[in-house]
Amino acid sequence: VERLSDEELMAQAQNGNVQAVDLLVSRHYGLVLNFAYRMLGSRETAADVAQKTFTRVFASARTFKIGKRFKTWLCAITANLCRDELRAKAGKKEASLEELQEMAGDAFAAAGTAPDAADEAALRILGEELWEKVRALPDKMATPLILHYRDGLTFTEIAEVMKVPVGSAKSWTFHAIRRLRAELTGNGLLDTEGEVE
Amino acid sequence: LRCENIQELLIEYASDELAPAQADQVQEHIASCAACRESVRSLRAILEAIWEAPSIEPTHLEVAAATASARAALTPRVVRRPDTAPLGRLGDWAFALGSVLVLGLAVAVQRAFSEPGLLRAFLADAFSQPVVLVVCFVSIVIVASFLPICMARRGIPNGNGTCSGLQKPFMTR
Repeated sequence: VERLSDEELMAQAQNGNVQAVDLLVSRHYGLVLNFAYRMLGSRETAADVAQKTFTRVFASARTFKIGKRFKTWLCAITANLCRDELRAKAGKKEASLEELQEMAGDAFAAAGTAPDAADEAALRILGEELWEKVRALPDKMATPLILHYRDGLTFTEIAEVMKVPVGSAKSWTFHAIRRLRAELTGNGLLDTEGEVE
Repeated sequence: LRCENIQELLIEYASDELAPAQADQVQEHIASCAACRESVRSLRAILEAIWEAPSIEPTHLEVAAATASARAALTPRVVRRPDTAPLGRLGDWAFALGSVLVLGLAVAVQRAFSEPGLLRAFLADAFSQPVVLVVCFVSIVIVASFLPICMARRGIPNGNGTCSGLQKPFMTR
């Protein structure tokens, strides 16, 4: 059973084979959890979303069409649940720019004058700020960005996930990258030479 | 290549996704263009921050919880049980006939009780004509025998929350 493809396992799950269900969950839980975490920024919420994703996947197992890619179907369901979650918490306050800059200042101070430690701290802050910015992007930009650069999906697969033309998926991803660069440069986290400060 | 035409190519170049021939062209361009060279550097910094962000590792508990939910939610495709009911469609006709006879009997009894004197006459008639008794008895037997079969054939819930007419999923374990 371990050697079967996702789609073959899904066909078995459609006939009630719970072993196929177990295998599909264990194969893809990490992907779903990490994607949700990148979109939502909270491990706890990401784990909730991951659990809901697999519940929804197998509750609607009979609607899965043989010949379709399981992974793109799974990512589409995860993306939808993340979008619902983001809408639900849309009213909540996000960290302000001042708070982020303060965090960055603290981290640099803590790193002292050692160049390696400062670089490491700068990278960490860039990473933290970056993911805040990614989560602030519209869904249609954040989703393909994460799926392509973190999860390794091709633009064709992303287009299938988002039910849009391949050109749109690619274009939104590139828009996202350009917007991130503009915002991070504006915050002073990327210097004019493009290197981390 | 002109700067304004290669902005998307720069992103693909920074993420090493360009075909070698195109990558060579971009390489040639950025060698002589400081602005695009800087652009590639900043794009690489962002992409590296995305790539190098550590993944979170799922715990056994999380995977177990998701697996349990997934198993509980599994709704397999349902397949109609092949027609294995004894007597096949004959059972349906017998059920229909029995139902009509029982209904007729019920109406007759109701009328007999609603009009004094008729009950005695009715019972006397019934006892004097054994065929009536036989018809009643046969009707009840037919309905009692075929009711479960017909319910099963039609997929009517059987009271256990399951549907006796539907085949249980094939367990391929």
